[in-house]
Amino acid sequence: MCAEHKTIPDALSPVIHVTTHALQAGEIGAVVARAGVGKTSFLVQVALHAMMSGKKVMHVNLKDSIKKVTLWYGEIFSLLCKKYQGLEEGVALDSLLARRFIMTMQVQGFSTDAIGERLADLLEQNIFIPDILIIDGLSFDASRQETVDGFGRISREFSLSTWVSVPAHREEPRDDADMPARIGDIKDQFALVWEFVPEGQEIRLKQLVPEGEGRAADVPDLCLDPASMLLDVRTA
Amino acid sequence: MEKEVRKLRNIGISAHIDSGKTTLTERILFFTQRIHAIHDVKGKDGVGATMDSMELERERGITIASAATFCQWKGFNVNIIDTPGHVDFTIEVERSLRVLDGAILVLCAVGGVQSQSITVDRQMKRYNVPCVAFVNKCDRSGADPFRVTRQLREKLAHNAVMMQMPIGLEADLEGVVDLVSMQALYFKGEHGETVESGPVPASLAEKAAGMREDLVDAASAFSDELTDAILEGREIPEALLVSAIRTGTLSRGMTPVFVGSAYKNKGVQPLLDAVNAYLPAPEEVEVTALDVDGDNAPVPLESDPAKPVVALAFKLEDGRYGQLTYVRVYQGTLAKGATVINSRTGKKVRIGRVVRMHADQMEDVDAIFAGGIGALFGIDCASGDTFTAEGVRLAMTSIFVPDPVISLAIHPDGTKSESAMTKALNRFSKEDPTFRVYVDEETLETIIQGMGELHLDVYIERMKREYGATVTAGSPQVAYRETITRKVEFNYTHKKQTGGAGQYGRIAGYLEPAPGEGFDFVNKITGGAIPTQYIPACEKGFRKCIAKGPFMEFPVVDVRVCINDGASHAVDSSEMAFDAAARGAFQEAYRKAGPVIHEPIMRVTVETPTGFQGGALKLLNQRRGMIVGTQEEDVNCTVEAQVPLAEMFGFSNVLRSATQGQAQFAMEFLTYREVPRLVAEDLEKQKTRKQEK
Repeated sequence: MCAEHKTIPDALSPVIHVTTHALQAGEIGAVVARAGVGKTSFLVQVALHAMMSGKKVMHVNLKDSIKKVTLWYGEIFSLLCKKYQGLEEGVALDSLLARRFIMTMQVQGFSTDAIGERLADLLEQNIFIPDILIIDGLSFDASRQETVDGFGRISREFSLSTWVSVPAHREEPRDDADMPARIGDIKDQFALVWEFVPEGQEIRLKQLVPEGEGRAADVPDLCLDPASMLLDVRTA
Repeated sequence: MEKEVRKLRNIGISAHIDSGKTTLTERILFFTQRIHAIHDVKGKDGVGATMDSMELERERGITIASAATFCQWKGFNVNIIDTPGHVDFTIEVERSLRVLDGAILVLCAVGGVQSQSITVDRQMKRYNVPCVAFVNKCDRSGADPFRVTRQLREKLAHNAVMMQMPIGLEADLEGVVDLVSMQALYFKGEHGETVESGPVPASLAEKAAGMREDLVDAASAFSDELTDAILEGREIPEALLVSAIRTGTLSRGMTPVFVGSAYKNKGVQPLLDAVNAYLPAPEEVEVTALDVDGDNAPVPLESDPAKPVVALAFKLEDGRYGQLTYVRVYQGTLAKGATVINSRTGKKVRIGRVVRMHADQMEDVDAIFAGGIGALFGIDCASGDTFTAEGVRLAMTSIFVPDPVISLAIHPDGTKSESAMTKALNRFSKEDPTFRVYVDEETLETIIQGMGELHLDVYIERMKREYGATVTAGSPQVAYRETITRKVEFNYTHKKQTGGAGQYGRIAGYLEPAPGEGFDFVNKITGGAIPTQYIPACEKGFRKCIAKGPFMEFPVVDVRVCINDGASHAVDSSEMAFDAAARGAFQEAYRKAGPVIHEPIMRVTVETPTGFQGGALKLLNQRRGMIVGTQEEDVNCTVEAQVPLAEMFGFSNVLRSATQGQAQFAMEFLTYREVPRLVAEDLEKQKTRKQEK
């Protein structure tokens, strides 16, 4: 465990443990949800948790400007500080931000090769070497296979844990394992697929991959608080 | 005739430095018979091009001030602003683009789309200025207008379409084929003043026909009638094609590309025809003003000379006859003898002389009509002021003024220079909103700020040449601060007995960090431990200390001093004694309170073509910069970083050379942050060295 954890409030540690241990280096995880349910919020929390654990995060966004992504981080961090007493004193957002690199690009300019090139460049010049790669805003409509293969390659080459957000639609057809059609055919590429589903008063985590065996037994009992969009470990 | 707004063009000529825009302007003025001889920019004849009115510009071969000039071409009135090409003078470019309706983007047939073309293009996009491109220097070895047109498409994302094809290239450049009329144009006479047309040379006919097809195809996107004509296989009337190209150009959906060589007098007249045919008249441009009384709500203006006048002062110049104010009239008529209101100051202004400028010569006119550009004499105003008719409360949208990025301390050499320098600085800061002057309260040095080192160099040079003020420029100082990191208690007694009345004062309390509070003095004395009349003296003593911190002599900020106990003596206590006690207490406690140095951190934004992204990141990283992120858009990329100001001096030059001049950057103050230990040690060493001297 990283020394950084010393300053993390006890109540937050279990959540951090779940998100930072969900993926190994070289693996890809997907978070699926309908628009507005909390994909970006989840990914920003994954990033903040990793940063608090001393890891470095590259956040790639295909929809918003750097300014907007920065605002997301500020907002989620202040919500976390409000929820977990002692966090503000123990962790300064300023010092965390040195562990984050935001890269925004237009969807038409996006390619996994372009990201690979940028990563290689940053690595070569020793500017920023991330542990976690976050991709938000990709629609997964066209050339899905190629894209996810690319992510696999980058993750292995740079020893990254990669999280991607996958939008889901209400009417979207699903396969037998309840997997949305747009990633059904590429689900094998993911080490993890988590879906956030609104259920009554809360937003529950449903694990779509892996199903059945393996890590299925360890399906984390996570949920999102619909008011703050903060992650919580359910204590049933 | 001037009232015919439809036959008026306000155009700018924007481009990369050295792509020949001043030469082009010179030729335009020659062909429109405003001048009767041709000079070169770096003129061997010692005269220099007409638009470069400043001596310094002539010497450096660059255009600094945007001189407005007026000419006529085939019944059209054309106002031309010659804009500077250097990155450091972008405010000039920005200002001209704000008042212009269209532009000629000059590109070098050899160099192609270069850094400044990218910057200028970004600015044109910001102000939505339609443009035609002119690929100049087709007579040079290595000229390839086709490649430049491709670059316009790929690098600048323009829908660039060639309107002409060159007849021969490099030394063999003979003329051009006009793809609209399908005529070959040759430029005969000593200065190419006679345009002769003839059939397209047989060897080029096939290629020309293909290129015309591309042109018609591109233009058809803007005209249903043209599309119908193509589908029906009808003959395409020239007027229909021109009208479709015009629609495309005005909407910035298409950029017609012309070719030639201004230096060799080839292709200039067709370019002038294109200005008339494809660039907008003032009435075709949507202009809005802000309603000063109504929450700055936008109010559309009409290019109608009969409406109440609204005009913008976009440039001031200190001429031989006093202040010359360049104005663009957006609505109504600005006539000699009229009274208008300066909407910023609310003061009435009487219009004296109204002139039309031709570089540094002028001609008197009675009025400037809606859409027109001219200059006024003897008007006291600042750049960017709006003049309106009485009763109209409108302001033109303020011209985007970037914040200065470089500052430099200067001091005059001798008293004579001092008064001249003051005069010059007053003038420059009024003329150019990006040039700022202030006196540093700490060092009492005069600090000038601007857009780049060259920008400041030019002003220092102008001070010398125009005002006779020689100044010595120093290296700028970063405004460091000190603060404390721990709460520390103090209990200090000031006692002095040297014969006569003694001095006695004891003061106790604590120092603690107070982030964001500057200096906070708290008095918690109870029971008169320190008599009330001495409390202000205590505060004064502490305040003296924070002006120059005991640690590194930087100002102390974000500290709270609380006094809660003390003692006095009936005879020996005085205001002076408590002032001294406070200073002693502060000095003693401060060193124990973990003092640290804070430095200003700037938010730096670098805009660069994607190809130079890695280089830009490296430069920022080398400067202790924390990269916040990168934003990629088309062919360009923005890098955002937080970098200590101390590391940013000289950055513009380093960035320029690392990116072939294609990147530009802006920075603004973000916050103060503690300096890293190594840097703090360096500063301490510097301080020691300074003290030893």
